[in-house]
Amino acid sequence: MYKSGGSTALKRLMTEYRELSLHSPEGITAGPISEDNFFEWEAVINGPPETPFEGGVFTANLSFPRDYPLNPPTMKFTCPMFHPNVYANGVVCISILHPPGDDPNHYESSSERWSPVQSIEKILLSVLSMIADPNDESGANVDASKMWRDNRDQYNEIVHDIVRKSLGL
Amino acid sequence: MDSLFELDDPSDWPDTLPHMRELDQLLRCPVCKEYFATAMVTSNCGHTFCSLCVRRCLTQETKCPSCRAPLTESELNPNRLIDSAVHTFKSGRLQLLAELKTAAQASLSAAHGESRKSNSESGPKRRRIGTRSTGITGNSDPNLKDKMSTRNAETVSMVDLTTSDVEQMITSDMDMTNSDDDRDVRLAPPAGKRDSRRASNSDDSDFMPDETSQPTRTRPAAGSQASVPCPNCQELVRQARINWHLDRCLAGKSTKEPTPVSMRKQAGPALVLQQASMTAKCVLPRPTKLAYSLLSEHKLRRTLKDLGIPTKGDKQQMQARHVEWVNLYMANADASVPVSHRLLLRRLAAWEEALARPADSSKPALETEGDVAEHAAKYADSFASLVAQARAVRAKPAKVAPDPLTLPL
Repeated sequence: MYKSGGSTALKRLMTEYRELSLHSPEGITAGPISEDNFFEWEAVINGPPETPFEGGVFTANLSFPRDYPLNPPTMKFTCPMFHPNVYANGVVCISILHPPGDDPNHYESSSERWSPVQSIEKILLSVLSMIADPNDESGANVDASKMWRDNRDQYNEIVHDIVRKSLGL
Repeated sequence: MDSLFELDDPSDWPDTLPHMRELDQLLRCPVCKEYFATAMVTSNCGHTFCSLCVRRCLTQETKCPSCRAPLTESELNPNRLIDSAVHTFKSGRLQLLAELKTAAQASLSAAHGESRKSNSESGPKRRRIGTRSTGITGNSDPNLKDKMSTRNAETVSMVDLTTSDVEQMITSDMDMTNSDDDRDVRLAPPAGKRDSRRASNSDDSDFMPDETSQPTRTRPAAGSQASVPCPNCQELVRQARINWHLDRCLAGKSTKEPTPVSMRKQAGPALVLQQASMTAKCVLPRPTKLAYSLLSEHKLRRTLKDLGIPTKGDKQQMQARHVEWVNLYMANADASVPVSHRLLLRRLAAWEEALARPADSSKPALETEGDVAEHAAKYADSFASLVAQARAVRAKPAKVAPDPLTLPL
């Protein structure tokens, strides 16, 4: 048995894992990669219906800091991803994942940013809605942003490719 | 808060009781998702958090974690009613859940037509098990919680047992409980003459436990309770204990008998207070917030030393430690029953340990496929040269190897 002492983070991650495994929102599955390390999670996100991403299954890793929930985790897609708000290396750029103190882009209202009362479930739901509805004001992937704005057909085509890749086709 | 890990959350309640689930949720801190520990309400926006949780959040950002309204620590006020509500709710929670489980099982077996001839029997029995667990839940010893959960699991199967079986189990359970309480003996009030208890387990029948916890137990025969005066000291002693008393009395030893469990249990909350004050010998000075950027490393180290907290590490580590110490100290000062500073120091050490762990142990486990690919790309040159070296080494023995093989042939 583990003595709780300073491990607020661990306890909260275990609670969230339990909640998510009992009532996970539609289209989302998440849990620790290994039960030995609750600070590294894997999430599987189904492409939201009625978007170019429909039908795809996307995997991502979540890394939690030791002072979670004071600071947010980082999220990185481990499958090919083409989206205006996802860097080429897979890192997700979304306001809820930005710690309260710094605002690198100077456009986010602080109400959208991370707060300790947020949760993994809320992050994943935000990512789901981000996938469906990109925010082209903060282009993490400039090519994708531009294409999404100017050449939607080409964007959709690339996304369809990615969906096929995500299914291993 | 330092009890053993027990993961309870609102989903423990069945879907048929949405209100209990909601109440369970409401009594939890939105930051740590556990029951409020020293609840503090914000004076501006009226949100409630654990004292330590909200203080930790405020060192990060001076805003309410829930609504982001500007908030400072001076705007926090204790919310004692919530503390009491949490205490009461936690005490009744396990009992209620256990009873729900038992009831569900009973109705299940009834539905399957397995009900025995005396179906009415299960009613009073269930109640007895329930009331018994009240006695345990009321106990403040955190070590008991663990046992409690296992025992609640047992109660489910108990429905099928006969009354005497259940009572036997209760008796053996009581003995298990006693050992946990032994360390409290020194703090317990002195034993009353009639309240004495047998040292040997074999004669447990005339030991009268907490009456409220075991309403069905029959009173023991009056004979063993009758008191007789000691021929040596004239003190009134229970008849069954007179030989034991005489032995000690004549030898000049203390004739005080071990404290009965019932008294120790009743003294629960008072004990906690007493214990806290007894261990609170080391009193550390109240820390204040510092402007770290104005302090040199040397000065900060001296401040930490004056406060009685560890001074190891560089300035950044000392600063983080000081911040956490101020939060721990202030949150403890908010509590209605503060713990000793020694325990606070232990919590500080545990916090630091939990924070430091990732650097060594968990890093290797993080390597994902992407990281491996990145790593491979970064060191492609080194890999290539290593492969070339390895090939060269393998090529040499390949030349040598055939020779000894061919020789014998």
